[in-house]
Amino acid sequence: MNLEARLVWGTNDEQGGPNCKPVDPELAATLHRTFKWSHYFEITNQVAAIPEKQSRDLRMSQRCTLRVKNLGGSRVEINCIGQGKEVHKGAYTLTPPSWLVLGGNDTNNTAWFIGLRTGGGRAITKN
Amino acid sequence: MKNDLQLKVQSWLDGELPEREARQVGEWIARDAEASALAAELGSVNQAMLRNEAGVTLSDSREFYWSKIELQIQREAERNRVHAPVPWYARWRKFMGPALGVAALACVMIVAIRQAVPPTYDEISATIDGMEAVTFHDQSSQTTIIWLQDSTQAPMDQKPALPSAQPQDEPESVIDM
Amino acid sequence: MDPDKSALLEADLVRMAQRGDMASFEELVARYRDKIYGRAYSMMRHEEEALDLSQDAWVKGWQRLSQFHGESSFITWMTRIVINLCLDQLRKQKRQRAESIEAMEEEGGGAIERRMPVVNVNPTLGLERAELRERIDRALAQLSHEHRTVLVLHEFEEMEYKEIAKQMKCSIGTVMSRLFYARRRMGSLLAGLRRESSE
Repeated sequence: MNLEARLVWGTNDEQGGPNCKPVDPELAATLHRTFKWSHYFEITNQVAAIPEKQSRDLRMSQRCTLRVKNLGGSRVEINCIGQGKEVHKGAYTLTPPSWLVLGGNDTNNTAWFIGLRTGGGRAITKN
Repeated sequence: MKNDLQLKVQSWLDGELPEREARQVGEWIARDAEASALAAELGSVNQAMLRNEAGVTLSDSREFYWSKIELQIQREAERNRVHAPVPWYARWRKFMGPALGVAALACVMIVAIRQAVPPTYDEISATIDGMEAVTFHDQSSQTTIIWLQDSTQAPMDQKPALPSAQPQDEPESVIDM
Repeated sequence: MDPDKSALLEADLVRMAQRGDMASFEELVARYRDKIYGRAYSMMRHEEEALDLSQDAWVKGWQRLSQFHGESSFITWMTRIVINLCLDQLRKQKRQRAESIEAMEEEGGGAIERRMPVVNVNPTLGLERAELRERIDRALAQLSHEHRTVLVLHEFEEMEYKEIAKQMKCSIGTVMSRLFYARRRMGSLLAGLRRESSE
């Protein structure tokens, strides 16, 4: 399984700050449709090839690591680890090209999102 | 003007006085310049505000807003169910339970054998204390969204460890390069 | 979501929801969520709090649906629920924060506002509606919770003194004093905002 994970910041500020890039258009459309923030910036983009029954750690930020286990049959177990503590764990189905999005409130009325998707058998190009 | 008279003017304006008193106060206001001016001032605020409330629109999508309500309704219903008194016929379950359990297990095994692919339900197995997860599907894009929210009232520095996407003020980026 | 629900009358939706049809209740939520959130926001002046309280109100509405008998409109009934929740929250916050001298002065009815000269010029004369609404909103934000609440309940919800007193758990006399202070303060704030814009 080729997995892609993107850390996105949701804010009402027009300026995203250093290391902020525009978000993938499909993901941006989903976020705009669902959430209230007017701007979304990509902070980081991680890709990994995860063999069946194995897991990989994707370091999304200084505070967040995503441990993803390939359960087989498009199923993944996602363990969101914040500052060393397991914040959330769940098993989900990833059906390309759809995104799975985790999110939560961040400080100063902003939000963090992690978008996940698989590329099926295709190689995913890292930005 | 004494305060009780000022409040009388207000009550007259708001139609809160009994009919006879309202007539008397109205006559007094008509002859007294200060009372009349006060009534006009209070009335202008009343008229300004009437039907001039700034409208607000929720920016959350319909599905997202509803998903949290639905989750809470289900949670409350479950809590009430757990604490409800047990009816008399339910006590028979402890005798019938093992037999029913075996039958149920047999059904599940038959279904599982027939199914060639694993079930596709989503399953939330654990969330840290003080947080809750709300899951919903955006049908138009077939996207699954899991929103993690803090269910405590703790100050920010005592809240459960949360991911952050905030760009840092210091020169180094959020990600260690 | 059942697309047919959007064409149904409110009375039918309420009836179906009372029978346990959650999809009908969801349609009611969709129709009135802005109004309920708006009422919560006008009282709390805090987006996240208003959001949470509005959602709590809908949950309570679902739980108490069997108590709705149509004496008022459904939205009026729901608005009362969210108002109660907001007032509970404001009371809890009041217990937690220290009383400022200004707040206590306002509580007493405002000695200064009692002695204020009357504002002779209508502070809202000549304003476009959108501009007036914006100024009223800005002025409301400057009032204390108690005075904003009494103004919202009287001027926007058109509740009588007795009903306001019951909601706010205070005497009718206190309602009258707070309303008087709030109106004079509002008049003065609107006049001030008008002067600012003309400078």
